[in-house]
Amino acid sequence: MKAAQVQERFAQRGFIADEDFATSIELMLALEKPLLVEGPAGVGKTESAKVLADVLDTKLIRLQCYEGLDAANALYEWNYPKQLLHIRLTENSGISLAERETQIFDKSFLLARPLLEAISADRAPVLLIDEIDRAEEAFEAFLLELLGEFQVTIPEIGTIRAKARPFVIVTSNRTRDLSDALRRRCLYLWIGYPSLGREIAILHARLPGLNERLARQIARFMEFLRAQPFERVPGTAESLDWALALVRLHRDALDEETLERTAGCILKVQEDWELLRSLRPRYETLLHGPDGGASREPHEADYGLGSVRANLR
Amino acid sequence: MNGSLTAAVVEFCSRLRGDHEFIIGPREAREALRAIETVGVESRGRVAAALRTICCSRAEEIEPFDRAFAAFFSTKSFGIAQPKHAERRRTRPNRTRLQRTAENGEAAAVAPQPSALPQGEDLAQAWQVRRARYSPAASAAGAIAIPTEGLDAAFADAERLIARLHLVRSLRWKPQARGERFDLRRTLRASLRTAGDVVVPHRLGHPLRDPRFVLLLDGSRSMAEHGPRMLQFAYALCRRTRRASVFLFSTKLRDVTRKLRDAGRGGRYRLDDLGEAWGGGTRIGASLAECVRKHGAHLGDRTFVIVISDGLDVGDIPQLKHAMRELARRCAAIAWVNPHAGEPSFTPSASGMQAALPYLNMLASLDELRGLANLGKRRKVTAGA
Repeated sequence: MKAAQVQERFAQRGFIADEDFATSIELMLALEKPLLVEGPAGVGKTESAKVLADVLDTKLIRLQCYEGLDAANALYEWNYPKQLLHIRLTENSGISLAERETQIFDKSFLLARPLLEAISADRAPVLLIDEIDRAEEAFEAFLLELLGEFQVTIPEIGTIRAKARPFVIVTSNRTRDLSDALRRRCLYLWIGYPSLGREIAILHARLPGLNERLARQIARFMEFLRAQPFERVPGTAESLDWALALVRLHRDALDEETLERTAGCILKVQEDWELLRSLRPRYETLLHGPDGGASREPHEADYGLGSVRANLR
Repeated sequence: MNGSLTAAVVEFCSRLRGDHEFIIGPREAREALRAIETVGVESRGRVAAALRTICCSRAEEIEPFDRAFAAFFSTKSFGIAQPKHAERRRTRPNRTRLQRTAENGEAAAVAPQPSALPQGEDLAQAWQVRRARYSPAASAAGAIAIPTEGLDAAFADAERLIARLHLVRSLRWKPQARGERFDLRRTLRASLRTAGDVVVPHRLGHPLRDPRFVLLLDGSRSMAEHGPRMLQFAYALCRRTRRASVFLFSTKLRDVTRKLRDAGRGGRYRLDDLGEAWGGGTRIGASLAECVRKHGAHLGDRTFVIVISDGLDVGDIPQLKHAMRELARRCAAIAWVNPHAGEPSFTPSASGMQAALPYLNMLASLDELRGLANLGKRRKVTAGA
């Protein structure tokens, strides 16, 4: 699938993909390599895997990582109660201990977890290994064989190779640094916060009923917020939540009162609320600019690096 | 694929590896060629995106990659080659002898200009400060000593910090003799040895997590007075735990962990060959950014970062802000130890301090080093604190 097709098909599903993203997906499909997607929370990393599965019309298998995740929860686990029952049932059957051990480590006693399920599937699924940075380094090392060779080794059974190579997307919020070994096995994509124009396009794609003025105001205000030292900087997901809330409240423009009532959609930490209050003199200018700052012709500084600083001067 | 394109891509990969320390080898070069074959060469933007996807492996590499790509693939111009213009003579005024020699790293041999420097006893000190301002190269330090007097107090501070810093329990379940959860899997596995009879019950619990320490020490001239105490603390911490990493910075950052661990052997309390990490000007932002970029593996959700600096930064303040934000995001807590913080009239008004304040969990003076152990829950330090 070419990058232009990726952009088109993703756009049909409400996901606005830029050229970098589309090229990375194209290469991931062509080179059959996992794609490591990094970026701040709420910019669409997980969503990209869901949409990809939809575009490819295949199954999405998701492994949500967390601290303490181990092979038993990610790859496979033996069905211990079933094994115990089998041992009891064959106790007086005269079968030798070695033979009984072979029986209970058969594939029929194996419980497939997401990773094993992904490489056992007949049709290549999209495997989403979400928030890998939450898992520990030992688990990361455990993944190397799967990401490099698309195979896993189960001591009692042997090596299982993938029937069809899954399309693997690994996401990370960079709460810790990942190992070079894992990075070398993956293609890399960084998804940052969207530019003003792209955020407006995303808002329109997801909420077709949203008026242009409000979409522009939201995007501009989010751009302002992302330049502040908040504990939890709001991402695109928060923009969408906020826009949806404003639509449900039948608001067609932003003002201070609306902002205070709906700030919970974008800022999720008490300290951030306090910081927002302290920023009131600055954002008032933003809200009460000509036409709420919404109708101004886009300036070249609106896009790309430095745009936020340009607006704050 | 065109032979010259292949050669160019391989050369570009080797340039990234050599000049920008990218971890890429022949495998990545081969994949880069496959990537270009896939996306074609019609669009420069798509070629850049494809190579970026292959060659970069972390966010910090994207900017150097873009610069390298622009520089490498923009050199060839179209059209007929034109003769080069003769190089014009520079019309800049003559540089002073002081500037010339400072750039050659020979500043120490040059006498100060009497009209520009103070007279009297402070002359030597002022001259050193001026040298550091003129050129970071002029500050290259030889060796510094760790004073042994007062070392016991530093050890006491370090031990207290290691022992009393609030520890968290891992969320991971690990085998423990007196764990709180019954481990059915291990119990059943063990029961195979006794024909299915459960003889030894196994249990799981949450192990304690030990914090890691990252110390960033400002070795600039303005911190010269506090250098010995700072080094004593760093030395004591390195000797008491293997989970400490120490970086010294002035205009360049240097990992001195190994040097500190080895110091003191045979009664030789010295750190040799510190180069531009000691005794020069201050580039806090660039140094912290380098720490995040090159030594990011030391940072994590159980890392406690301690910066010992007066915050007098002559470098790029937005860069410092950005680096602090990255540090705060990637570690558990940051404490800033400012030697002047204990003075009654102290306000964190230095530009470096102002930039760092929003990201700090604690601001302390050197006398309060042992108080760092009391850092429990994250708390913000406001500008007025």
